Amino acid sequence: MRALALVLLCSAAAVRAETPVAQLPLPCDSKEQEIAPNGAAVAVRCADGTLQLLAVPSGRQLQHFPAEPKRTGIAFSPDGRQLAIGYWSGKVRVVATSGEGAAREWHASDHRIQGLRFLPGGELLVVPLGRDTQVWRLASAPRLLASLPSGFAEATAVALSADGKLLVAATGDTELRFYDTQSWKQVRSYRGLVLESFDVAFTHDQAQLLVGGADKQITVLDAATGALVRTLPRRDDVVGQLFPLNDGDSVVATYFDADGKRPPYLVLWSLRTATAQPLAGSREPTFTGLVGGELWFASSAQGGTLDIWKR
Amino acid sequence: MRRPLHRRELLENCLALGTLTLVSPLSMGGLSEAWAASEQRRTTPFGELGPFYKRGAPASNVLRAEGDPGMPLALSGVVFGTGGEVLVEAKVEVWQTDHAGHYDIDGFRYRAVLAADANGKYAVDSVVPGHYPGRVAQHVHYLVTAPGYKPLTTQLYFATDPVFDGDPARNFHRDPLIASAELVRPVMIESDPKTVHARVQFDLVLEKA
Ligand SMILES: [Fe+2]
Repeated sequence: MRALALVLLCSAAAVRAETPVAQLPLPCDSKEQEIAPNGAAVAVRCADGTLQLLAVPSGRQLQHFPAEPKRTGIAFSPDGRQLAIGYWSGKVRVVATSGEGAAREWHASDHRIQGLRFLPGGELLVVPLGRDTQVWRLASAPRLLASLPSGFAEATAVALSADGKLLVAATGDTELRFYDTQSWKQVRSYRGLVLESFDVAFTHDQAQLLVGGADKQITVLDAATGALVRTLPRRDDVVGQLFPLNDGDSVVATYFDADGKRPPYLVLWSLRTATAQPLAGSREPTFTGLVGGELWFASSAQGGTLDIWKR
Repeated sequence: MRRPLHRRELLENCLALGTLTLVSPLSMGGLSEAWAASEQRRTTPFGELGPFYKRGAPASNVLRAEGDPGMPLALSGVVFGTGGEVLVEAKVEVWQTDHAGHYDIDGFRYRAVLAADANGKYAVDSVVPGHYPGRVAQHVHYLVTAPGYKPLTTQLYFATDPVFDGDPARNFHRDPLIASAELVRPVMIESDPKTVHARVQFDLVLEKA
């Protein structure tokens, strides 16, 4: 749920394999973008505080959101057709990316919205700052389905199994909570971590759960039992994001320096061999994410255009 | 453990001992309620927990080691409930960066769990934390718990932080994460022949669960 700007590390041993996807004219000065999971739209956060939604690859403007009221985060639905926007005021707004139809808007909390995440069934997870995670059903008028306890802090990351039946939430109290999404009851927890997790992700075969965060390592848990399987070798920096790839073995992890003094970088892990190699690129990405199971990047560093590529 | 007297008990004791004469038009019950109302405290404003909270911090009132750089800081306060009652069973967990703005995430430097004393008071010896990239103001993180009360996460800020330009009431918004000017506390600078140190009082108020 945390967006990180990334810089690719150049190294002789680094992996390089890039395929261009699109080049769009940028409507504004922007250092942060988010590409929809279907690859058909990109949300561009402009330096002036506005948010522009553009079609990929045409660059046609789909939606425009003003700088006020202040947004805190956005999330695309898995099919890329909806965009949820969270606000400082605790308001949530859901719009069709096409701009068609009426927006749904409601006040979810008195606290600012820290995170949003669509579930495949059409529900929306809403994470207000310092509060329990809310599950909203979006069919017709938004309705609160469940409120998932998050200890003394909010959820920092969530992962959903591919069949949509199991939700795992990492919370600020360092616990991992596993929920059955039919009943929204907690079915198990993992308390073996002492620092916050910044990302959780299921492996491609859904058998394992990967957890990364301030402890500078990737923890592998059995998804069915929540038991610790192993930890991958610890590095010098904090794990920010985890992207398990379709081959079932590779995981791309972003790392950042906790003191914010060194640039972030990407590492490609093999789960089978527990070995890592830097993942190099020719440009500094301003977006890294999974689109259709592939790792996509965007970069606005060239000025005036947004380059999108995949590896 | 010493139990603080309830207001009504205290009034009755005073009346019985002849140390209090009711001259108020209010009855004993009314007087007790008025007193209670005057002692009502507002819950301490919320502050973010993360991102570098670490579970399992040691119980220690001394965070500053001999020779640590930075201005020594004596931080203390009392933990109350919103009814003004002192919370003698409160636990106050604090964590902060060192003088240079670095969080120890490998160990537990500048992290501690403090137990409130019989008067609900906590105290810790530390240094004024540094600034770090990504946060505007110097701060100390707090997680406060007490049986029967909702946990509180908050942050303490320093009125002397240059970012406030000497006017925290007006400028506290310069750090967008500061929810209230109430969290920016005055800093007393004290000196003796050997050292100069900062003293900050930060009382905490929890809401009943
Ligand atoms: Fe902090």
